[in-house]
Amino acid sequence: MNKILKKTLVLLPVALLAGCNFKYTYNISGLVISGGEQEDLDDIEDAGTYDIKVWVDDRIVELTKSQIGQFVAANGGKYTINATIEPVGEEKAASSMLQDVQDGADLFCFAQDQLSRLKVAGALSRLGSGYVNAMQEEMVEGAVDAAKINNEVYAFPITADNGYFLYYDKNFISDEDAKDVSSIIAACTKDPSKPRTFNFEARSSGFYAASYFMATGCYSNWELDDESGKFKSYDDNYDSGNGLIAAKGLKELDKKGVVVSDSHASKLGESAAAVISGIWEYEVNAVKKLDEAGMLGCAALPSFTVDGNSYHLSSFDGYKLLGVKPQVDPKKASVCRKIARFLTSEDCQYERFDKAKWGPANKAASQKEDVQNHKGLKALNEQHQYAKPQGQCPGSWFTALATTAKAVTANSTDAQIQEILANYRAGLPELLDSD
Amino acid sequence: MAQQMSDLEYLKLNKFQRFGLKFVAFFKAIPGWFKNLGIKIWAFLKRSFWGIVNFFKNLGLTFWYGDWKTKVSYFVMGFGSVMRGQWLRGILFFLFEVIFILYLALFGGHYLGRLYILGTVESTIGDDGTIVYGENSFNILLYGVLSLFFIVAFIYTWYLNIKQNRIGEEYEKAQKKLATASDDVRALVDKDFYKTLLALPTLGILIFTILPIFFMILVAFTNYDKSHFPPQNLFGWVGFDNFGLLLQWGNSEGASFSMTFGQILLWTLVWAFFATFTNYFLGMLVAMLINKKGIKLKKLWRTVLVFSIAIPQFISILFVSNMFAEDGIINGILGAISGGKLFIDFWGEAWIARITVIVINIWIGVPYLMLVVTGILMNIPADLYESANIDGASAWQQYSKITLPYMLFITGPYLLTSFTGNMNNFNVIYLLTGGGPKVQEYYGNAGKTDLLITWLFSLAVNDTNYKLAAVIGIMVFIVVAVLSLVIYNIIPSTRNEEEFQ
Amino acid sequence: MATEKHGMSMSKKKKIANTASYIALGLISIIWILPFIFLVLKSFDTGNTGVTRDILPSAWGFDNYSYLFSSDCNFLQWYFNTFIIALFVCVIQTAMQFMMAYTLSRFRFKLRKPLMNIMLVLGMFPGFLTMIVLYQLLKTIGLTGDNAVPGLILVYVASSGMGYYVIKGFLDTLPKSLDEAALVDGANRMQIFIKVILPLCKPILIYTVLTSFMGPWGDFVFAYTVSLGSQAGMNVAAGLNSWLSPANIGAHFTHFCAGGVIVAIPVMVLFMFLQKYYVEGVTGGAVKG
Repeated sequence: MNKILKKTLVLLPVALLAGCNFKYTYNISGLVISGGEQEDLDDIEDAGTYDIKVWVDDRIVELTKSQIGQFVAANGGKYTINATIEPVGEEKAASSMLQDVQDGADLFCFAQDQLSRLKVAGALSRLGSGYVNAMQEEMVEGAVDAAKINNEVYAFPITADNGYFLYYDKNFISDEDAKDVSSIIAACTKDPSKPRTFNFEARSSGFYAASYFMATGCYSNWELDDESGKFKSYDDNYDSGNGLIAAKGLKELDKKGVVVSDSHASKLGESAAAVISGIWEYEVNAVKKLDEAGMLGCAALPSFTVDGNSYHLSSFDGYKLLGVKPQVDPKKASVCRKIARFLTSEDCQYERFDKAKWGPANKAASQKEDVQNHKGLKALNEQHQYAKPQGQCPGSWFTALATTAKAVTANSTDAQIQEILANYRAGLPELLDSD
Repeated sequence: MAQQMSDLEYLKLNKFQRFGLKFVAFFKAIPGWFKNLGIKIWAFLKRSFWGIVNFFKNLGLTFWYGDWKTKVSYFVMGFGSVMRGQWLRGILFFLFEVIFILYLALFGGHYLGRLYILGTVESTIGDDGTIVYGENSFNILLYGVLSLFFIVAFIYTWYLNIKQNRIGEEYEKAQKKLATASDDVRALVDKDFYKTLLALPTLGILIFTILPIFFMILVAFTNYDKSHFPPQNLFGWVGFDNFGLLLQWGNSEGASFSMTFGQILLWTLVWAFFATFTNYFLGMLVAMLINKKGIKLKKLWRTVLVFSIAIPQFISILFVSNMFAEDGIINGILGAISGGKLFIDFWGEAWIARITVIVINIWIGVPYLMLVVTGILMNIPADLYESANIDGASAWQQYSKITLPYMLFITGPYLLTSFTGNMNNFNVIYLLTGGGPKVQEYYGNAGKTDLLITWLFSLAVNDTNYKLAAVIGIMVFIVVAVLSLVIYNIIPSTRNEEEFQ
Repeated sequence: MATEKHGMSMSKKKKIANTASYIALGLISIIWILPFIFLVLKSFDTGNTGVTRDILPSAWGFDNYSYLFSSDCNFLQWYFNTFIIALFVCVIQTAMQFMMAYTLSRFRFKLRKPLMNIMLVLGMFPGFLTMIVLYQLLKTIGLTGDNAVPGLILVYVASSGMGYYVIKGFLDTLPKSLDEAALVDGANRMQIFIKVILPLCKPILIYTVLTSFMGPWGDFVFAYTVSLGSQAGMNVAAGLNSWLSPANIGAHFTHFCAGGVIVAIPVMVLFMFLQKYYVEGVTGGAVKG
């Protein structure tokens, strides 16, 4: 026993050291791209050598690397850029930036709901009218608004695909069924030998539950105090006649075991017949397999019916943004903004769609034929007319809405629903304080 | 106790009565404690006062009566030591002084000077994307505190340096030989070997535990949150305002913070109680099963359980958490068995989630307890059981009369530490539920299975609300300390450590 | 043994009791082992990389493992980092704890009791609170980001002296006469520590090395903070954990499972060999509190 142990202890590190020749796959510090002749187009003289750190999702690390190379090439060798590109996804980028703005990335990708936090923490700066005007021109409608706080723009829209839509399995759900929540649920239970689920996270997530309320015309607008980054007031009508209709519609999702409150498109083709999720699940292999079999359906969200009236589910228009950290060196600040503008340009956004299936926020790129024909993006596009912009709101507002949705779907009567909505409203002032 | 009844009477009681008696006695003793505490504090103050007076008196006298070497040593540390032949000590003293002065002049002094206000110059961001960094409150507080630590260390060393001179003078008068450098080195591996051994561990604790804790305690008295977030913004002192939030009940602003704190504290205690005792008794049961006479393959059973300790928790718990998801493996199995009728939303409902975490915690904790208990079970004298067998005692009687009392006696302190450990059991809760289900009525996105420690974590990391996280941290400390104090005074087996040697 | 003399009925009863015990133990074993079987099964699932409710994969293969070792993924980097950290930590931490424990067990000096009390009190503060401070300290000396590995080693070992209890409990049981005899023989305290005491501590030494080696494998919070996104400084727990975010879980859940299996194997093998010492340490530690 002892001998074996000794051998293992000695051999283990040796084997490990020998077996692995390590590549810093993503960390390409030392990538130096330069050459060509100089072009003088800019108002500030910013030619030079820069170390730039970029945080993007690991799916587009390699792509971003080559795009920064394109940027250097396009500028005819004016810049030498040592780019370090690290795979920090949108959900982690914001908290890592907050943890250490100074050592954080110079350019980073994040979801729009983090905008106000990042702005208050000094991780973003206001963009001048030159950039804003150009973006208004080039980006799809609503994209620039997503980067706005109190009418000032703070970041560059990089995708317009952060919303959600309906994936469905055509073996179980016909295109006609997919138009209505009740018929989807009915289709799931049609064949008792093959029970399927409808995965819709509205029961436990405010992000999805809002679909019902916004569909009936409810709104919840929160006003941010520019200085403190805290919310100072709100205008909310979820506790209203329209809210009651929405809540009644939501009640339909209480069929536990049939309606599952998650958003895993990976269950499609196995236990789920329909899933409401985003484009980020499109490349999951379960979805791909279904697509190859010709049985994948993608559509705008379905409608729901209350008291004979039908309402098309709404959703949030989701955008991902590219942020530029304020720099001590004005030259570097200028270069970083130029890179950000380049990375969000038509060609780069289209390339990102081509290689990683990210939906462009750039108007021209989104008009291209293959973008228009992509099943998932097409569904998002159809949903777009029903979608509402996701303004800045406290993170705990989603919790409040989830609490409400969960209570509504727990066998509530109409009277109880009214009470639940009243509780929701009564709790709103606390959100101002707590976020 | 002794005044109220004789030892004989006490021995006649059963253990619950004894326990009750101790419990009552404990609370009766509390006023006495406070009295004692008061006396002690007064004595301490008196002692400190005279200590300080003596300190300065000694300093003055040593200076007044000291020779010129001593006098120079007041300003150039180690001078006297070097002149008296103790060059190693002298050089070390001198080096320390140089480092201290350099530190203050080049680094620490600036922060120390701003500690009272934590900075006044904010960062400004220009429209061209540039930033001019102002003062950083975080760094001022951190390095200010570090400088304070350094100053205390310096004063102490300076005092030692002077004491050395006094001793040196006395030795010179008595014509005794002073310890040379080689004597010093020899002492460090022999008589004073403990100083050598302790140097590194205590330095590490000082810088990486005491300094950070000191810092975080101070943060509880500032407004460090997302609106006052360095390096972009400054934070400043606010006194006891944050603690005031804990005392606000009713409809005033901040009420929901105190309500949430109360609820989460309650659940933390409930959780710690069940997590500790379910593990304890079930672990004991499993250990007894395995160790039962006539059971074969003991090693196999044990190994199977130990298996789960060997796997890093974040893997096993995260996986188990996914198993219990609404659409996870467990519900898949339940559905298959019941034909789709049975369905449990494990993480969705407060009470189901709470029970589920306790049950899964059994899975996590029992193997460990089984090991602990096995070792102790073997130590129970076998003749106790033999005589019980002869008397015809049933298995239950043997358990309740022999095994359990013995176990409780031996593992009393262990139970206490595992209770407080469970109160701070971050991994299990964070990885299983992330604190959820989250509810609107709780402050700051807290959930129904959140413990104080996980709530603190999400306040700090997700909401960057460090001021309240620090307040909660201090409250956790107070609760743990008070509980430990109370329980240590009740349990029987707080033994004298010298007993073994 | 005594019971067997009481005749047939007693032994029959015993047989039933034993059968019941075996059934119970069998059930317990299944419950405890099943999640790991599920984990291993899922790690071979090539039909669906996301979360599913089915136990058996729809297609089998080694894709998930080969992904880990492919250039698409930094798993090897993470693994190597963690291994280095664990190696250094287990050596230095064991040394620190022994230094502290030996001192407190064998020397009697003025600050001994205060020192022990201070460490007891410090242990009652929730450690997470200090994370941002530790990050800032490490940043000041340049040990964050790409240099997170030495930084993490430093933080893990720096305060490890506070975990001296188990070793001290063991040392307390070694008779003081050993030290005294050696002192009479002219050994100094350092020689006693190294030549007399340490050789007797083999079981507890192995226990300490084992537990301190295992520690760094599970740190997914602090390690993530210190690495600040850098792959060169990421450890395996933080890396695997990042695969379970909502945007990644669909594509990476099986990779997480495969990674988990690979992380668990060496630790488990080590554990199986050294189980005896682990059990001794755990028992001793618990009894001595």
